[in-house]
Amino acid sequence: MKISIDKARCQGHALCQLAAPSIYLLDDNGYNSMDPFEVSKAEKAEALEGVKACPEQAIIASET
Amino acid sequence: MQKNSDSVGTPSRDHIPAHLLTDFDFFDPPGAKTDPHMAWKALHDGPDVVYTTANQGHWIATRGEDIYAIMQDFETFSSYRFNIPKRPDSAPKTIPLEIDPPELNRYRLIVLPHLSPKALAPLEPDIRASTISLIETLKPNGGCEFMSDFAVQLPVLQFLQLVDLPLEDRSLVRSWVEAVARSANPEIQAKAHQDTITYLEEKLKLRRKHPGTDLFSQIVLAEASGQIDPSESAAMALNILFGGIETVTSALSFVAHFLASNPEHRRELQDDVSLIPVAVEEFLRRFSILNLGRTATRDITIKGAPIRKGEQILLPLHLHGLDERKFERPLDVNFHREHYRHITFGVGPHRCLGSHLARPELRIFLEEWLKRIPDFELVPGQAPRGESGAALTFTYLPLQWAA
Repeated sequence: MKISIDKARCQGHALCQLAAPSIYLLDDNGYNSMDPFEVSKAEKAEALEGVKACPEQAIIASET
Repeated sequence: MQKNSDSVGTPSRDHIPAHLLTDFDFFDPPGAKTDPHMAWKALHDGPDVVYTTANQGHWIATRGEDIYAIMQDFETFSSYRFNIPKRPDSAPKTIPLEIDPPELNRYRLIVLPHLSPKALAPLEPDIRASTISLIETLKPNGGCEFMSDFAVQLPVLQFLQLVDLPLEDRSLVRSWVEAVARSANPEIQAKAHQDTITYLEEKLKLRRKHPGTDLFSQIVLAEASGQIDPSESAAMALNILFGGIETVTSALSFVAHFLASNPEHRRELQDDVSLIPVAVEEFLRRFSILNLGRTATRDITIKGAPIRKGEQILLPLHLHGLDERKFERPLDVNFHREHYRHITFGVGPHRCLGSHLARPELRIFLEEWLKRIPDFELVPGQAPRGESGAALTFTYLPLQWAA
């Protein structure tokens, strides 16, 4: 599964990191500025928790 | 025939369909003294967007979907002016709350690195220590007036440290915050606003001479790099101050009120403390606080409501959390929901700058209070007092427990 962050939508709620701390990293301003990345089958469930938690709907998951 | 509604100060309402008109006074909706949230929830029995003639007239978006969309659409709904009734053009801007993108980011970047989860994590031991100390002082008394004895104290203590202001100024600062948050009188509001600005100008002058590492020092340091004009610095300090003090107090009031009346929820959190972070989100959803205004920059119709350029619309963020279109059985407090995607800290470009301070404050309160005062209740015969306004809160909340 591929995860991409809509950086224009991210407002630094930091809830993705709270929900999925091993998947999402925040920059020094507390925003998610990660480039698109792949997650393994084992990480999928946690990654989707982050997608669900984002109030801005800024995290997009797509099957590759 | 010339109608008197065309005269200055009374905007024309001829364009508004009669079925959308109400006289809902957001400073004093019926029932707010007992239960501020239920007083607002009554709006869900009516149209999705209504126009009230109270407080000089303004729209109210009552449904989560519209509140969400309007907060995101800063081009159509400017946060200048966000106060209802609208403050005069001569009144200074609240910075950054009344700045729209793209200028907004220049101001937010001044403080964002200092309010990120990473930057605030080292404060946790401090927050925990002052929380414990306040609770331990109250515990032997067998009861307290939760608002003045605890909920008002804790956020002020934290916040004054963050901006490096003397603790002895806390009552003064608190009284200004109170007036601005809940006075319906524009003159009292304006006076409190001006008094705060005067006070902050003095403090910023000292910071310019001896900058430290506190948040206010970041503002004066940003003057040097041109990120902010010195004439704007006090307005920004004021916004940060008000944001940091009022809201956590209100949130604490609703959490304590709920837990005092719901022993089974207390038990659940005591039996499994790992639920506490989720409980914080659920409390933030169920007992969200703010009423924020926006001003339309063009004519737009939403759900049949013909909003005209220049008209204001009130966004009760708490009604998003109470909307059954967003959350199943929204009035229930349930620590096992499918999701907790509330907008208590706002969405869009004005997301609350202090959210990463508020969350640990609430979490640590639950962790430490429930450990020390596991059972407590409302005092029979002493009814709590709820209030509405720019922020919902209880202002009086007597609690008792076995000492």
